[in-house]
Amino acid sequence: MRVAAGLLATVYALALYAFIYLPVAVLVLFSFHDGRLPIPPFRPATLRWYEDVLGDGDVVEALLHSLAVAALSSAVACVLGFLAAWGLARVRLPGEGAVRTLLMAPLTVSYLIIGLGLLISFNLTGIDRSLLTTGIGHAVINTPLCFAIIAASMGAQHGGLERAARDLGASEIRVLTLITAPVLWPAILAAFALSVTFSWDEFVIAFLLTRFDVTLPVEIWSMLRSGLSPRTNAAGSIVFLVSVAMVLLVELLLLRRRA
Amino acid sequence: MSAGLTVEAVKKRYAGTAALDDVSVEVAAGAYAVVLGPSGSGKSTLLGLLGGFIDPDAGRVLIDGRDVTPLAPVSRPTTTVFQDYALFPHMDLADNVAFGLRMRGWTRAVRRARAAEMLSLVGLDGAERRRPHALSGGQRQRVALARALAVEPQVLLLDEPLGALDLGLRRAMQRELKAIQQRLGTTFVHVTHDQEEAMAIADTVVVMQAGRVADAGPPDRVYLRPANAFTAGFMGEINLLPARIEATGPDGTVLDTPLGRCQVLEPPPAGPQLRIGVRPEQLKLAVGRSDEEATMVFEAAVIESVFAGPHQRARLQIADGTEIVAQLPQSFAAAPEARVSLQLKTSDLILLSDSEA
Amino acid sequence: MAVAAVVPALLWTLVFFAAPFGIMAAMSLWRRGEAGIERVWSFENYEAFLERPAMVEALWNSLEITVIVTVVSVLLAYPLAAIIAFRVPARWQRLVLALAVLPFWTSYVVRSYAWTLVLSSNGPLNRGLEAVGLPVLEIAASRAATVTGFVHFFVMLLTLTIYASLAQLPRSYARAAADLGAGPVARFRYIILPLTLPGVAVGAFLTFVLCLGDYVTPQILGGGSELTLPQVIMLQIGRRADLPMAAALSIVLMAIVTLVWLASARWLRLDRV
Repeated sequence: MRVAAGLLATVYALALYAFIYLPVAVLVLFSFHDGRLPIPPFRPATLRWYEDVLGDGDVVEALLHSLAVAALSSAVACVLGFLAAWGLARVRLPGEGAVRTLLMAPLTVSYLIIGLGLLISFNLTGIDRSLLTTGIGHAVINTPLCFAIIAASMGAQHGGLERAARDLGASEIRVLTLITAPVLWPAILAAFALSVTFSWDEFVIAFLLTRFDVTLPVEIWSMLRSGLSPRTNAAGSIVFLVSVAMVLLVELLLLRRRA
Repeated sequence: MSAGLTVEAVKKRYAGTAALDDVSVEVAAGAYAVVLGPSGSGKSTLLGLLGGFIDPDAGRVLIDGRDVTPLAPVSRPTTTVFQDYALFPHMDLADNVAFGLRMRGWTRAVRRARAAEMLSLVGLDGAERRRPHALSGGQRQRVALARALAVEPQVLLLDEPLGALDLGLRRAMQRELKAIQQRLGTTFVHVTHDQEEAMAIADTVVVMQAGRVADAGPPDRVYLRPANAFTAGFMGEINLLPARIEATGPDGTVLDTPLGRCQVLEPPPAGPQLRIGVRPEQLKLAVGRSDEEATMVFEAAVIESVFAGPHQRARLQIADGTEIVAQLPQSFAAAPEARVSLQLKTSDLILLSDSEA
Repeated sequence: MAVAAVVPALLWTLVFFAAPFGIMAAMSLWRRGEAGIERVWSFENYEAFLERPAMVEALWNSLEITVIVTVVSVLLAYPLAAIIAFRVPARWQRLVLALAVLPFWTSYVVRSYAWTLVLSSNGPLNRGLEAVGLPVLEIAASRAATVTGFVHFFVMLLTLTIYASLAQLPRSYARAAADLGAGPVARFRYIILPLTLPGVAVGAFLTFVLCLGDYVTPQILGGGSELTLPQVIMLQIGRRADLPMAAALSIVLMAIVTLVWLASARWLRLDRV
């Protein structure tokens, strides 16, 4: 009985893992496919699609745009989130609950609606769509994320450190830069990395808010119009690997902290 | 309803270390047994083994003469009061207490009545509709007890049931546990690391050390005549001193000790290293010269004496330079280095022969 | 000083989230005229939505897909989360869990594209089925493909959230229940399921919200076989350039999410300890 249950559990888990990894495996495998269509039988193995994709000026440009948007919007989100988390942890405000709810609200709304709201607003105010507007959109969705992550690791003991620093004569700015930020840096870095991952992968907001200069997901979207191609596989694999690297970094940062 | 319990030569290893190493225990039907030991001694493993949560590598567990070793917890006539109580947070007290009855297919009305009765037994009359999170630690403990007893187990297992309670509540719950046990006549097996708790409630104490049974028996015997130095030390503070057999005759054995020469009736146990043990409270101030042969009198120098409530706790140095501890009357007052004369009854001496500290 | 620190984030959220949302709500009450947007207040976009069968059908498609995806994902993810929480040794659990959700971090676009590869009529899945003598699946460019793509993503999300609620459940609850005579089925039904239901509900709600609002997956995998509400919204923005209508449809989408949230919040509170 017990053995049968164990076997069933193992088979089930393996089947689900297979389901979860199937598309990623096919994506990455056929990015090395030596043929024009990414369909079986697999013909090993070439790097030409990577060369092709990385030799394409548009793709490389989009990749650089994505990196810039991700880095800058995440930096903004981190600073905003850190300051808000610090402020709310240190003083009791009237209506604090409402402030927290408002700060977290963008997480509960579909990206499509956030993007559309910004699109309409920029339209009405005559602001042109660009990488800047896309970055603003990404900072909107990532600020609550950074706020939540940093607030979660800002415990009461940090308040004690700050009081000690103030007692020893440090000004508020110095307390913030010399005590609070360094103590919280793993959380801040984790928030930054996660936020970069989200921005890097994000499509709908970027699709709505970019115009001539686009980000990598939007570029891949337009590659899809030409149908299945190992070239798209190569581009997708690059996106996936960058995301995984960022996530591993977050895991490492947060795990180290807990240990 | 109660049943005797036998553990036969049980072994259990975890990752190469022996949690239980050839453990045999006998508990009579209707007895209150306390398994006592420091953390890591294997006492909780032993309890898990009785409850069916842990499978032994070797050996058997018998309840009421029946081999229950292969049985799952569900099928055993035992229930457990868990250390964290494990009350189900989404059920009220009545549903918690009646859970075992529900699993046995009792009707709702009967379950209700039984839950009320069990809650009343543990002093929580009328608390059926309350939720576990609204209770104090002591009350949770009572509910856990009521829940485990509701299914009328033959043996009740208690895993450090009072560990989370503060001292006053602990003492009160000890009396109550004992009273409930006597009223129901169920066999209780209670695990603790608190030797005072063990002596307060146990009919039988099983002392565990490093996966083995160090000693087992009635609490007074285990305290006064421990089988080995570990048990002697674990049950209470003790002074251990070397001893040497001087002569053996028909009237007993003459021992040479740092406290002087003495004659004991019981033959000293064989072993690598003969020692005598003296409990601090067995040392008295000598009143003049004692003529009784069964009393040893010796001199010691006071190192320091500290007021400890019921007595003065004195550290003293005896002739060979060894330091001993004695409980002297509250009125005792002596400057350091003052010499005092102490006496003890030779019948109180504990003879030990193992090499343990 | 500390109060001032909250201001930037608050302003940012007000200016770039709350205000655009208000503007969008206002826009939903205007209309697209010949020469651009006319600021005439009316409910005509909402009326048009109700009167156009294609749009109501799109909403209906969205709801159907979302409900199917949510149910199937919960049913698939719960056992996996339970296996990780109860059968994998404690020190491996984090790694096993992290592995189970690694592909979660691929963008919607890439993930959906990968599924079109897998499901294409002469793709790896069908070649594999052929090889073992099973009939091939013709589900590319259909609702089934959309559902597959969604389920893939949400199984990972739900495995995470359900594992979290299983892992924080003290082991002694199940042990106590077993001790009192509960078999595996009774332990699950009376102890583990009721205690993890709030966690499942949170995950299911998240699934519902994200699935209902996603444009990419049905657009890439559905192959135009049917339209979902987000696809119709995108059509208004793009081809028809009817921003007021897009705004109105977005408000409808938000309203549904809010309704579901209110309903499940009430249900959650009832079930809470």
